[in-house]
Amino acid sequence: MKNLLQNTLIILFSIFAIQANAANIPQANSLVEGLGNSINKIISKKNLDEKTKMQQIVIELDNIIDAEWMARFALGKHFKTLNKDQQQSFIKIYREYLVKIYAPKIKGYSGLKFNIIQALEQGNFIIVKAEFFPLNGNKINMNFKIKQKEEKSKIVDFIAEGVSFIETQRSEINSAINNNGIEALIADLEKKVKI
Amino acid sequence: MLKFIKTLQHKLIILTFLSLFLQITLAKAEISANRKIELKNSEDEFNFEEDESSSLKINDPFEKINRQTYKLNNLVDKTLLKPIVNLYRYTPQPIRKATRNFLNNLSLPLSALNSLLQGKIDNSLANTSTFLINSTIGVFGTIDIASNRGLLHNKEDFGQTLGSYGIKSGPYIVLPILGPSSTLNLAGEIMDRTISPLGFNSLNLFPEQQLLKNENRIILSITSAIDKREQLDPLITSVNQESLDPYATVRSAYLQNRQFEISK
Repeated sequence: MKNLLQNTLIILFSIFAIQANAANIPQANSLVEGLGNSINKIISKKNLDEKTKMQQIVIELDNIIDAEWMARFALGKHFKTLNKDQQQSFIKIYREYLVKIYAPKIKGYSGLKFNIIQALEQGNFIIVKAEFFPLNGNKINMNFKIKQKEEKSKIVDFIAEGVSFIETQRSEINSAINNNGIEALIADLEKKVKI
Repeated sequence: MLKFIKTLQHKLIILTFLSLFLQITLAKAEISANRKIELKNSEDEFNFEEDESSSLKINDPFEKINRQTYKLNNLVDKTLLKPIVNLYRYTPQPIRKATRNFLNNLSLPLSALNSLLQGKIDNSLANTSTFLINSTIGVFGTIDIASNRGLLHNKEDFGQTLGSYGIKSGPYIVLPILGPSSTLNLAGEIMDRTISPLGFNSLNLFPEQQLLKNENRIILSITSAIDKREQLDPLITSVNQESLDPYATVRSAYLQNRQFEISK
């Protein structure tokens, strides 16, 4: 009887969890659509110079990505080896690095015709599948991995033609730490942010 | 020179079959191996063990040699390929585009065959139609009329065909000059070049038509290499400037992309 009650409760909670995630799908869709539109809007502003446009893209990107989650994922098991201060300083420097390297890439996608094909649940995430159509060349499959954070949808990964940005980052960071240690990695990140 | 190419060709075929045999044996041994494991809860997301939290398994037992080859390739790239590409960029853009279209078009019959071998009939027909339209109305493939008109196709190669049969990609390898690969993709590449009338043409397809002389095959390969390097230029520049470990970045991106191509 106790088991039956437990199982029933588990099933009920699972149903509520699935429904809650499904309710977030339109929010995830509009996040991606909104990102595309606002970047296009920034690029098409004729009164802004290139530097200002890039600064605005950086702010836009900073608002919609979950840099803390991405930093933790990218650092993997090494995150737990750092003390609180080191963790915070890694998250801070990684956020700057992320925005700095991703803003020009996002800018490259601006002005392109794009379609959102579908949004689906994958574990704790929502994957929004989109297609971009460059003027010269084949279409690019681009997926956005989205996670709920404090009732807001935030992007945690960009997956272009099957290549996940954050998976690649994790592989790269793990390899860099194994070869040179975490201090060298942070120094390298600082150097790259300053360039 | 021709005798040397022929001997090399035979050795490569033997190597391909040996490699394929090895791949199939490995695939059988790994048939019950772990599949991709989805992230189950928020703490698992941050566990580092790649088997548990990552969809990508890095199989790089030759990392030390691979890193040396990667360094060598980078040196060759900086001193030879990049300067050639810089010179190539003086060629007017329409000519470069026509060259790329022409080279892409030549690869379509093989892509159609591989699509067929994978049971992707629609894609095989799309590849064949694109080839026929572009080779005729598109002036020997220099104009990609089919894609411009919305006839889209996916490129398929023999590596993808073998992958679609469940054969594992095998260890990651970095080939001198050619760059990232895996044992499966190397076997696939050799098979593609062996079968293709425009490659080694070992099956001696269309012997009377004499599709291409060996000298022209070499010219075609060099042009194709320059075009590919030009295509990859923004990516290579971005990896060299931004990556915290360029070797690991290229390896991860290559393996993920191949996995995606196979699963498409």
